[in-house]
Amino acid sequence: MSAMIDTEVPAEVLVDIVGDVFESLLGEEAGRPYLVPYAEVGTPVSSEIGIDGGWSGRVVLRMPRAMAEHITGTLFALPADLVAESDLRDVIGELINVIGGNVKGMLPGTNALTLPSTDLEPGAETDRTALCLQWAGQPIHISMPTVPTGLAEPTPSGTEADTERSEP
Amino acid sequence: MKILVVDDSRVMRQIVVRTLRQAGYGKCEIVEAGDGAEAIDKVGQEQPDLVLSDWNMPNMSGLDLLNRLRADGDGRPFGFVTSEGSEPMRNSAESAGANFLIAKPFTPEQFRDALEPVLG
Repeated sequence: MSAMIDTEVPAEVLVDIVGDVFESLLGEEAGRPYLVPYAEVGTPVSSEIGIDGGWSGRVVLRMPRAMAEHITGTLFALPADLVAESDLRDVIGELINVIGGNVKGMLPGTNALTLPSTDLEPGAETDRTALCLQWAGQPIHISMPTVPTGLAEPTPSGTEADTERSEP
Repeated sequence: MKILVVDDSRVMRQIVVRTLRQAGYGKCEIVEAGDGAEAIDKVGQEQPDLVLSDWNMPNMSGLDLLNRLRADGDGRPFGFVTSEGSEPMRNSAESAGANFLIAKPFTPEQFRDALEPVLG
């Protein structure tokens, strides 16, 4: 399946990267996300990271909030309903940071990676070119929209797409 | 033996510490910093035997941290643990004086292979 358009990274490679990241963080027993037909992500959270240089765009991850809370709870050894928003942002930010770093290494030319940004209440999905993966019975979207050079900057902290991540 | 783990992500610091344990470095004392600027202070206070640092961080990047330490004549072992493991990044890390670069996602075996020549 080749669901991605206008990108240097084939869908299969992107799926592999996401799979490696999930497996590494959550363990083999958690299973790897796999490609499925497009389905909407219900009650999503999102994180993204900009890449600027030989390829300019963003790598965007959307997943159900409940899934993000489950992953965060697993990583911090907490019940999902006790997960703090700062930890949720930290985890989805780090997920896209690792995915973005791996993607960057496959892109042509010299590229710079921005810091990740997170959004716990993103708007409705508009990017139908997103790859749809399934993990734990729920859809995850990963997309790589291109943007003009200079726009791949994280949204300033304190706005809806907050760059704040949890600190010690 | 003391290791300073530098990463702006709390969860990633936790994962690095867990992986250090799995790699056989569970007896090491671990200290943490949330960015390069905080790491400068921690190096002075804690005198770690090894610095394990992320690359892409706010305030002061891992590369700026390494450059600052080397410019100050600090030659202590330094390794990157970063999501960017391409050849250009590895070359930049080596040129700046890093002992190794571990790419995320990583395994305990990769930690062992990288740390053993440095810490024994």
